[in-house]
Amino acid sequence: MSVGNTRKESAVVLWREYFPRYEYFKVSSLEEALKLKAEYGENAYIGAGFTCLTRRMRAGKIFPKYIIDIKGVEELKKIESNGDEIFIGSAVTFHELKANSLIAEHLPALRDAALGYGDLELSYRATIGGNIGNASPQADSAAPLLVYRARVVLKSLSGERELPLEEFIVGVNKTAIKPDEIITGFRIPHPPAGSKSGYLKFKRSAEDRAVVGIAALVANIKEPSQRTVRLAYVSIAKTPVYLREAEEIFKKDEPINKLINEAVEAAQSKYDMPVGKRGIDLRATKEYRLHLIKIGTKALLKKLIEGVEVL
Amino acid sequence: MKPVRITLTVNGIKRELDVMPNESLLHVLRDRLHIISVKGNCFRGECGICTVLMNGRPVKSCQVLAPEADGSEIVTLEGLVKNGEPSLVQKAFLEEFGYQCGFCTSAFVLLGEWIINNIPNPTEEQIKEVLNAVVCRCTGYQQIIKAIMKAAQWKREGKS
Ligand SMILES: Cc1cc2nc3c(=O)[nH]c(=O)nc-3n(C[C@H](O)[C@H](O)[C@H](O)COP(=O)(O)OP(=O)(O)OC[C@H]3O[C@@H](n4cnc5c(N)ncnc54)[C@H](O)[C@@H]3O)c2cc1C
Ligand code: FES
Ligand code: FES
Repeated sequence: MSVGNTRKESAVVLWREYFPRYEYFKVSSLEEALKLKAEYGENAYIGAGFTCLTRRMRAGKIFPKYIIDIKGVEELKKIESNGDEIFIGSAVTFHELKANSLIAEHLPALRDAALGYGDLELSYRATIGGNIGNASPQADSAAPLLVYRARVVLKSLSGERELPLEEFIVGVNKTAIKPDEIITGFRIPHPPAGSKSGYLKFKRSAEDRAVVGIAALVANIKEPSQRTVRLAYVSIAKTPVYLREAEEIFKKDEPINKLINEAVEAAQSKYDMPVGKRGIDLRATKEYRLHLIKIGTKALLKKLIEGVEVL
Repeated sequence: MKPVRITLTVNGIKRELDVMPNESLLHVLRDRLHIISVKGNCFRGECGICTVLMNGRPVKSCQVLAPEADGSEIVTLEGLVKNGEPSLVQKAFLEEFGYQCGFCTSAFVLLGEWIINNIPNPTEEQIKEVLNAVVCRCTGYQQIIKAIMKAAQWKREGKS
């Protein structure tokens, strides 16, 4: 039976029962993983929770020749603070993020994201490194990490480098990682003293990815010149968006509601998410997403600034 | 691609198996070991029908690579029956009619088992939170929640 072009090009994909043919390595040290990466480069995929990798393999989107399973590497599972910065290892799972006291105390927006992530079964496996490494426009952890100014720590046999998250994710499923590099974790400066932060996720069902996700951090709200307001969004454009304009908008000595409206407009202007036949996310129309940006930004900021739940 | 030897303890029985790296745990359990309570449906981590307990935690076995499971302890629905006696959760599902076509039942019973072992006095909200992982297309979830509540109560009362 021949299948017409239209059908081939539509979303109908045959899910494969088997994954492609690859060699599998379970490593117990970072050194081992880096050596394999140095040898096999982009033919070798890092896997941690496999919640995304298995899907993309089954859909025929990627064909790894080698898979390096890093979830047994202890140093990638650390969450620790040196007083100035918090380090979160790339193989830390969403379940561990939910349960960790450092995260609950200092990075509540990231905790919100972990609480809203997927379901219990997935959260036992899915990692923060995989969430960012996958560079999906909907990655929940990206929005909190952006407002916390997280830097991605990348390691290869030739050394270590750091990139701000904004520069790391460059497109849909595209990052600035080099073929021999591994994400070892994220360095996050302690948020300003007295700041409040949170993450608001709109979704259709419990395990759904964000239809729109919004993270915010506010501090010193009473004093316009000292005010810090940071906003970041997922699932409104091809990459997560850090709304740089918000920083300036909220420094103005004007009524806060007016400034919030200005920030909403700035965020809406970042919308860049083709929907429709060749779109990347068919779960909401442009109008609906713009609406969610508006009500979500207002609700989240009201909650952080005035402590009132509006949604 | 070469076969790899893995050791799995499935429902208390230790087994050595040669598997291909590109098989899933689901495939190993169902098609190699013929444990047919474990079913594939979406193959992409969404429906939860393929749930098994791996080292005591519920996971979607369609997303576990076979070699990844090496050394782990797996419990499926079959493993809950002791000396021909169904488990508390299974009995409660029977009493509360927590099933209709039965397709999702093995997954929900395993989640129930995890709940009563980890949350001694679960609220309806807590149960719902866990049940999010699996989809039932028949009954609605009310009877399933009731069954798990009942099993947890029996367990607190020391019934076996
Ligand atoms: C049913 C379902 C629901 C989901 N819901 C959500 C949701 O609510 N929110 C959300 O954000 N996501 C969701 N996801 C997507 C996915 O679970 C997350 O992105 C998860 O964090 C991926 O982590 P992982 O450890 O499973 O990644 P893996 O699948 O192991 O890897 C993902 C990608 O990242 C790369 N990678 C992983 N670790 C590293 C590393 N250390 N260095 C370099 N590259 C690395 C891999 O090579 C691969 O390309 C969902 C997925 C499913 C199946
Ligand atoms: S078959 Fe594994 S989650 Fe649907
Ligand atoms: S009883 Fe039929 S799918 Fe749940």
